[in-house]
Amino acid sequence: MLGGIGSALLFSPSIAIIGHYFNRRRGYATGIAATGGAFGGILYPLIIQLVTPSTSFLWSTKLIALISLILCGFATVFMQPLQAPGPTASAWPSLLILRRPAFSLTVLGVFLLEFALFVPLTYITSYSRSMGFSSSVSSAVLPVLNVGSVFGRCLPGYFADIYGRYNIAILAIILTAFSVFDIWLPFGHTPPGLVIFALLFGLSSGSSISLTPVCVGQLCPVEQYGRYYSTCFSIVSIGCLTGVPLAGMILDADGGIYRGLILFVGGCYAGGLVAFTWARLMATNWRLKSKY
Amino acid sequence: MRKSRDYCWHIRVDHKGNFEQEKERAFVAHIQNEVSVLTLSHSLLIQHQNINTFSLLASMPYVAPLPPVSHSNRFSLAQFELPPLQDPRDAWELAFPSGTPYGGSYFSTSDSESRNLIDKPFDEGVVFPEGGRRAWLVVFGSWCALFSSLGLMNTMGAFQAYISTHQLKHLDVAVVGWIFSLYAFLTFGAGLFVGPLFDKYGPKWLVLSGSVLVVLSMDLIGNCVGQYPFPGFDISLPNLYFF
Repeated sequence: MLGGIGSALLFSPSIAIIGHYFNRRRGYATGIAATGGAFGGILYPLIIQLVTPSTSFLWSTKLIALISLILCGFATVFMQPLQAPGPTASAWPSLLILRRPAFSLTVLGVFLLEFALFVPLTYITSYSRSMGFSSSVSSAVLPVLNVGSVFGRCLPGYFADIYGRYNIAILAIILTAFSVFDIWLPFGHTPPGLVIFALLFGLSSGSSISLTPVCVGQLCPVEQYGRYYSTCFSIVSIGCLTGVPLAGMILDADGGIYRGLILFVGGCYAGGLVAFTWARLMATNWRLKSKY
Repeated sequence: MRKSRDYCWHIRVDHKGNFEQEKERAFVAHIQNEVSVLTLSHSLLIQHQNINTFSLLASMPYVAPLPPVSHSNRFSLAQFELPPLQDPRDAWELAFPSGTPYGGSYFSTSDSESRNLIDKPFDEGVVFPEGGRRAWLVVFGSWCALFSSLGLMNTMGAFQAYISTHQLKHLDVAVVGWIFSLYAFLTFGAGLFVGPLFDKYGPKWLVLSGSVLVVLSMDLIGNCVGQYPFPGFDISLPNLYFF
């Protein structure tokens, strides 16, 4: 709980503050910052895997704490606000902004994406173990996924600034659904299939962290970016809370067979695709070819 | 003062001094030799009676103290130190403070309509650096913060695999899953309160306290589930919830 609240205090400002400095290149800058999360996802499991056997789990967590301490120090020093807040700005959340259909549809889309996103992140290690891969291969899958996600966070951001944020987000969701339905489902039990899935899934799903805030930012003025973004993600958090246990229940109900879980993930991505496309069309007055 | 609902020329001036004009409906108020126009797109325009051109004083969410009325339309928005406003009604309040004959609520529009105005994205007049050393240092700071917050969240799979095969072996997969999705839930969920706080007070205290909590939680999880738990600090669900 401490960690969760702490992460919340770090997470929302670090995304929102980029909106203070970048508008035209916001997707790119947000993407680059978001690769931090992916690098963390590569380094931390490696620490647990490499440090724990030689010393203890206690020491690997101590090491992670030390790394966090150093990085948080940098964050505290360098994250300086630029745009002044409005004098009428309220410090309290308001759900009234959900009345805008384009925003609420985007929230629904992001909800479905995150509903699904954490399922592979949480279960891919146990999945590969149950498919008979060795323990070292299983724990390497998550870092591989995160390597894909490093590129998946900054590249879509770069292209999104050129071709439109929603357009690229929709493309990324299509790619994610493809990787789940056409690679994980049929080929997940083979080593190349698993690795390719992890890379491709990381690549395409990275945008759901880095690109969605920029999409939301297109719907609001900059000094309310934090509010819109955090409102969106607090609703999404219900998806995070329920997605993984729900997938666990599906898994238990299927008696440890992962097929149902994979179909569930893919279905969520398909739903997210519909919501995002709808939101984009709504925000652009049903113009298909505009850069948005 | 004469109040009327009228059309005016809405002039947008960007920070390079380029401007464009369009006709739009606006609220117009005449005070002495100045004409103030509050347009529907949140711009407050000031016209000097002797001059035929409107100069854009400021666009919402910015309202500036009155600059010397310019004889030219070409001026830079960046030259003003502008206190930002969020509500077009505040712009009105600033131009015509309550207590004056022109004060009070001017908006004849319904509350919902004016709320729509507030929601309207309007970043024109806001200067974004789009780069430079300071901006990229902020990106680096964000990178660091995301490394420790989201990186930890992405590692939950590894934590879960370790803990469910060691300390919490006796529990269902779904139950252990709950503990770790609580982390993700709080990260995003508590953001509901963090976001508006950020908009109002900036990142400083948020990031500082967040850093302390994240480091503390990592420090404590070792004690919760490590091989040498403190006396009376046994390996149990409540401790993990604390993490």
